[in-house]
Amino acid sequence: MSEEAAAISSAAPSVAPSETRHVPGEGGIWVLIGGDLVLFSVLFIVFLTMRAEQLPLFEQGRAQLNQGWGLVNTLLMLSSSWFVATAIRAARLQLAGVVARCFGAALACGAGFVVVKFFEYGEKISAGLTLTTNDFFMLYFIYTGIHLIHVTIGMGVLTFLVSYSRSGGFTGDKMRNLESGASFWHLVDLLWIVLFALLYLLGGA
Amino acid sequence: MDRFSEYLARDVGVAKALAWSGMALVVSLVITQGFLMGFIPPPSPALSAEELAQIFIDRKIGIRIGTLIQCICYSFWGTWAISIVVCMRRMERGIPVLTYASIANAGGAWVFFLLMPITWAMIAFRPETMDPKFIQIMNDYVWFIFILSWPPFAFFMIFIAVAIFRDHNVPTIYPRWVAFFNLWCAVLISPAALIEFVKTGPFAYDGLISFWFIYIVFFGWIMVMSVCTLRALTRAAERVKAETAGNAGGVLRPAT
Repeated sequence: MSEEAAAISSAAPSVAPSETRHVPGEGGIWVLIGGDLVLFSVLFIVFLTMRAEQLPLFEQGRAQLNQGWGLVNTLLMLSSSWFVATAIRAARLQLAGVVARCFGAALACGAGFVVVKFFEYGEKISAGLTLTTNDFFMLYFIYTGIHLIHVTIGMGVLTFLVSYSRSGGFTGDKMRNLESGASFWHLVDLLWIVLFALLYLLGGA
Repeated sequence: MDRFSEYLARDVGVAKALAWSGMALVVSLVITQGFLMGFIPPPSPALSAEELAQIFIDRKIGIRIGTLIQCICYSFWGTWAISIVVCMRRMERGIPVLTYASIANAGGAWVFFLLMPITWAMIAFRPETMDPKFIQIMNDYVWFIFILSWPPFAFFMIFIAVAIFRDHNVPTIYPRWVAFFNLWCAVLISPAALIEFVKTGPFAYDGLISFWFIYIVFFGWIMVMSVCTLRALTRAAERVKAETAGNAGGVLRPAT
């Protein structure tokens, strides 16, 4: 295992030669990722506009969120992205066992994220804070809800990748499919990082 | 040109007409719902029943003419969807599961399209004597039918995507990015479910996300798929023509 780990880290700067710059995954996945970023950009602008109109209410809403849960989820997302990136590196070295285990670990992080969200929602709802409480909590539930749908879809992709990668032979189309799935999971992570900053951290006038 | 290619050319011609009918649907939507009825964007769900009734009294002639055109042009949903389904059929070997699922889906989803103009026409039939409360309920009903009925349409998008991923043709009938585009649209129209909860703001049925964003994505999807389908049909006809030309002996061809 330590030999494998050393091999992976030595292969880390796996930048392709400068003339043939490598785009991860197939071209089409970037239609989906770019498109999703368009949706979330609109959502983020909506949030900032509404926040500017009702600053005290949004400040108060942010203070009612549990930064601890948010931080745990951020760490889970970042770890899962690291596992996914490691899985891709291991795939380039044809280490089928490591690839499957890393995707499995990323999947476990995703499941942890869902469990934390479950408790967080429960905490809010039992405190009487729901979708209809005010505009801050409307956006909080809707945005984290839309993101949670992405997490669920991403976990479906990771589950597929775990069984898909067991048989090894990472070349051509198979490598391309692994990269497509991994790119989607990185999108899920990226969106959470921005959501965490917007909902839990953004303060001041 | 032999007889088989002749038949195929005619079939492709009909299929292309069906693909164009999707464009006609979108154009009719802009003309009728936009200009004749003034329902782009919808009247706010926060309006009082009396204010809403007055809108229907003022615009009743435009609404009657608009719904008349809509009943014809919204039927094009069914014809348009079939132009995609015939392409899907050529992607599937063995049991054409996704093709069957899509035919059933397209046939059912068509009902929601027609229920909208029919309900609007009923409101505009006698808006002066109708209780404003009824008008309010019926008007909400139209928008709920239109926006909350997103799942069958999302399923159709997913079926198209899966069919493209499993396409055995080389090159594939639709380019592969079309599959990802369909998946994206399926995810994007899902916030439609939120209109149940709010009457103002971006997720109300006249809001930035639940109306504008979803409308543009959905009808943009129809336009993009029409163009892609027209191109796919042209390529299919060319391919068969090239094959039959290079196959002068007439082997590998169905009996004509």
